[in-house]
Amino acid sequence: MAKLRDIKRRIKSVKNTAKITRTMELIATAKAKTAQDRIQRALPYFEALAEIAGQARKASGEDVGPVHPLLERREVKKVALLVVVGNRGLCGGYNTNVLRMARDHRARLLAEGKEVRLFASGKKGFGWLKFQKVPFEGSYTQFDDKPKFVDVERVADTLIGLFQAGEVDRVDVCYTHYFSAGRQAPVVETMLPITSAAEAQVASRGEKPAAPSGPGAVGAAPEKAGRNVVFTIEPDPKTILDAIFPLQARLHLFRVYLEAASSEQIARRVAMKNATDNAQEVGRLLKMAYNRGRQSQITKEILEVLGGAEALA
Amino acid sequence: MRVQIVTPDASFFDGEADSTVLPGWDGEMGVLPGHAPLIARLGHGVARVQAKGGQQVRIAVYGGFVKIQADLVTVLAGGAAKAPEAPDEAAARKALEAARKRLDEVRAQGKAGAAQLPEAEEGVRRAQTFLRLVARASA
Repeated sequence: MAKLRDIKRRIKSVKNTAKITRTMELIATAKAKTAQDRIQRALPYFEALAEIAGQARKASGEDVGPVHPLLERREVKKVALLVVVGNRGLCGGYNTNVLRMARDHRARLLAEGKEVRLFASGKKGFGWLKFQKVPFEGSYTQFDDKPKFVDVERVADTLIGLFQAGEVDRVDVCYTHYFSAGRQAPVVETMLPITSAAEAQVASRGEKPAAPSGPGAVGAAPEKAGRNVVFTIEPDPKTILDAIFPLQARLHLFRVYLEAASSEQIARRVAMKNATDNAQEVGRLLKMAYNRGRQSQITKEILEVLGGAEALA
Repeated sequence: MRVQIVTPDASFFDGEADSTVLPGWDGEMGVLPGHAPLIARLGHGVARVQAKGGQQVRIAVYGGFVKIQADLVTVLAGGAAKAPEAPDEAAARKALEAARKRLDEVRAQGKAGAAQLPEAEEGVRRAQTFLRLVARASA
């Protein structure tokens, strides 16, 4: 009897859990959709800016002048590493995958004799770093499923400031890259110096770029066929380029955050879907055990009654 | 002509306009329909769009770029703000003072504060521009 009641209680609790995880799955689905829409909506801005950069570069011709401070490649002694994870768990391997990659990247840099300054974004990030006793400085928690550009800007400007002041020679970002709705994976990208733009500038000087650019880095303008409009450029191409690089760096980070937010929600949806499926499976098994128990109990009771009747006869 | 004023995560204006005044890098500039193709850097200031139908829309633009091509004016703002429903000039003034104070603090740190300097300067510029937007809106 006691055992049957236990099973019943567990069925109830499993069903409740399934309800909760199912709801979380639905919420994550809705949030993932919004986050993906935000990536889509930001794209025209990225493209327009890339076009402006392209036009300005075209107009500046061979005379590119001195390298912009944000493109400057120095000998890398100190690296700032920004780790972008979520504030919350219950999203499968999302946080751990990024953190593991960040840890390996840090270890590699240290092995190369470089100094690493860690910046953590997301509660799960610095919680983990604290636990691992890894020193870090910046910690940001203001980002959730809808990272705002102004917030991202603040983080970006801190990193840009460090880079320009020469406190670090490179800024790397470790986050979950959004390849498609079906695939997201942690990557390490170099935010500063700006790579793909630098490549274009360096290429126009007839030199080979030193390092490969991060996947999809904001930069090179898409050449649109049949559009040979001559733009007046005010005040002059160099001023445009000078102003465009910091904005590109900020946008790069903004894209990082948008993709991380999408990936987090997708990871959570998958994790919650698995949890719901598991809960339903456990519930089914429990119900089977319960029914079997009930059946054997009834059989036992009938046998007892029969036994009693026989004894009386 | 069509005018779009956008930041990476929001659209502040998108519609037909008769004319528009933009805060250029070195002074305000007016744009009328049929403008020649232009790429220009923008400074911090208040953009005024004369929307079709006579209504004027004022938007604070925190730097960025404008691209004019084929009667399409695209403003890629680094940041932007609309005047709130109830413009509060005193609050905007206070925000500017806070931003100035922060800049002074960062400057006082000398080399140690170098990393925060660009951000603090930008904060003051934004507060100034926003105050201008609000001050004229309430007047």
